[in-house]
Amino acid sequence: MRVDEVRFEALGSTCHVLGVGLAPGRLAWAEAWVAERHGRFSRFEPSSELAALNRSAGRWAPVSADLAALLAAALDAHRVSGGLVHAGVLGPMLAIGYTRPLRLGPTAAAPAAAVPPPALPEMLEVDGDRARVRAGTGIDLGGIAKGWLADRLAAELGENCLVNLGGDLFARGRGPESEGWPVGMGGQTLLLSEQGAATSGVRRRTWSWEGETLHHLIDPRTGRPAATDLAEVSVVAGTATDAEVHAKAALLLGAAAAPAYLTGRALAWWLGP
Amino acid sequence: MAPSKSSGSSRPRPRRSDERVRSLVLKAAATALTLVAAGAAAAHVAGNVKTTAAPLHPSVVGGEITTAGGRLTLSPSVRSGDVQTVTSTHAS
Repeated sequence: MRVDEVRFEALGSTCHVLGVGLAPGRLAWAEAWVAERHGRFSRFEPSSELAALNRSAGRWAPVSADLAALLAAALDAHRVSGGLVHAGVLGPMLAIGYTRPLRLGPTAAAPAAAVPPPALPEMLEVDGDRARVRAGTGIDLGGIAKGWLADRLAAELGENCLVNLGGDLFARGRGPESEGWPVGMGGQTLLLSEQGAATSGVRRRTWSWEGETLHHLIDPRTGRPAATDLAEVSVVAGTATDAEVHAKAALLLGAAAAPAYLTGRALAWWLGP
Repeated sequence: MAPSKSSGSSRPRPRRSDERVRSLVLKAAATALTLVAAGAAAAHVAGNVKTTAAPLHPSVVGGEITTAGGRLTLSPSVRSGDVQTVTSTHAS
């Protein structure tokens, strides 16, 4: 069956949306949908909802239903990953110079100033249509927003579609040949249906600062870029959000502990040394 | 063990014409059953053609695959196939 698709840049990544039997205009609608969420949830956009929440750290701030749900998902990710997936690592990210989109280059870094953040529930509260970030801390949703948005867009877009937002994807329906959506993972083709997939890695978004190689994946246990013997972990799970959470947690745990963590949590995984 | 006695000696022997009729009935029934099964199978195959041009796509269900760059572990709910991907998951 014919597949319609669109690629575009958003969320700091390349996005790819595909569908079978979509009504005319749905792909353009999907692109606009992602762009609008990017504008609301990016910490780099001064006018975003998230930036406003971070600026109001220490006091309650109004949040939209979408942002409240996304913050709740971040708290859930922290819980299910045993604290490894942590949306409250904005301080360490700023300390290592990740203060703006990396296409603009990192800024001066002070890695030694990066300290482990408090547990997320101690620094983020969500109460209906308002939220409060602990004073002196901040939230970065880059680690969870793409998967969360892929799940929601796929749910709205159509009955047979695939939403891939920067590598975090959800495959809805039976795909173009009714045998699942063929998705590349670890050099293999997986046939996904009503399943999500995501990859977490430390090969991309890296830079050097005074002889030290830095990257964007912060280990909340140290507050520093993760030191792991895995370069990449890809995971298939029931949703893109779950896949993203478990891929990141497994990457931080390393090659020895990752299989035990993923067993029972993930439907498939690829560990890349 | 002592050899068993033939039971035929205590029963009346069937007539040869009865045996022939029974044999013919059995053969006819077996032939009819075979023809019905063959016809049903042909009808089922004809009614369930997906696409005659499709190549074979053997699926691998579950298990572990070692690739050049790492190790892929699959649960039974995820299938791999030998088809062209439409997209891929990757780090960003």
